[in-house]
Amino acid sequence: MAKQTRAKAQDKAEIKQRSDTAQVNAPESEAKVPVEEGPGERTHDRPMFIPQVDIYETETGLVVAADLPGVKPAGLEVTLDKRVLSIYGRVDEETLEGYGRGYREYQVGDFERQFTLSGDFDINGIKADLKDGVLHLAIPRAPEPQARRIEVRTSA
Amino acid sequence: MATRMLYGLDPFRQMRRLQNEASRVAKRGSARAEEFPALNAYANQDGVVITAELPGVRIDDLAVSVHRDAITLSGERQTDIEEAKQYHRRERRQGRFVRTVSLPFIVDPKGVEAVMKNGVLRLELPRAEEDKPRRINISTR
Repeated sequence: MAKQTRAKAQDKAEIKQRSDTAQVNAPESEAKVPVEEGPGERTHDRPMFIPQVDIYETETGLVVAADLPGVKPAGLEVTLDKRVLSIYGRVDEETLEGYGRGYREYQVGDFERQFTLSGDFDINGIKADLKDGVLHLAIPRAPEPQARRIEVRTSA
Repeated sequence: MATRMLYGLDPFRQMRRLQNEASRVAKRGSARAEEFPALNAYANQDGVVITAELPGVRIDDLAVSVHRDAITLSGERQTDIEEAKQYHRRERRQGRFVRTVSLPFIVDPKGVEAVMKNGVLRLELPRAEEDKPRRINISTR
């Protein structure tokens, strides 16, 4: 019983982490963190991991740096829908001709993570750069909208 | 010696003996360092291929050395960004790492190939010719 409630609390923490950019929930261990099972099952049978990220502010906007080892540019999908930024990286495990699997310390799988952005961003100005297995997403802030003063008249 | 001869028949059995001899990760703010990087190995009779995920490690910051049956991976990962004014999240590890593993055979250092692609290191480690099992012809005099 106690176990169950703990599992639920974890679920909640996960949801919170997804919906709140300010929440810092860095994985303690060096091992890859698998994505929590959602309500639906995935159609293909391979593990999915949460990529580790750094998110920082620059002069012009926000940069998301994500570790995506093994992801080729063709296997990368970055989408921004409303304010939800989704990063998905497909990893094709290389099969080695004539070799058997001998020893395994890490699993190979895809990467997926979502963030909710707070504030206005210039969607068309997003730059994505994938190099050495690290994705750098530069998301510029939208120019400040001109403040418009609304005159309030009092009817005499 | 008997197990060594069996290598040709079942390389995996020997591969499971792949041991960590010395591993350490120097990283900030964490006392319990785990093995870094994690390694996968694939074996056949002529050698082993080792892979490791090292995203963001530049080739210039990575060193691989081979001595007899021991492979040492060492390097450094820099995740500091100068233009960062303020961090919202900081999960990517940084710092130096050293990891040594020993294989169940002597490696031919001339045949070693190391390729870094998309943040994944792939090391091809061929078994030294003199270390390979040799078939002995049995004759009846």
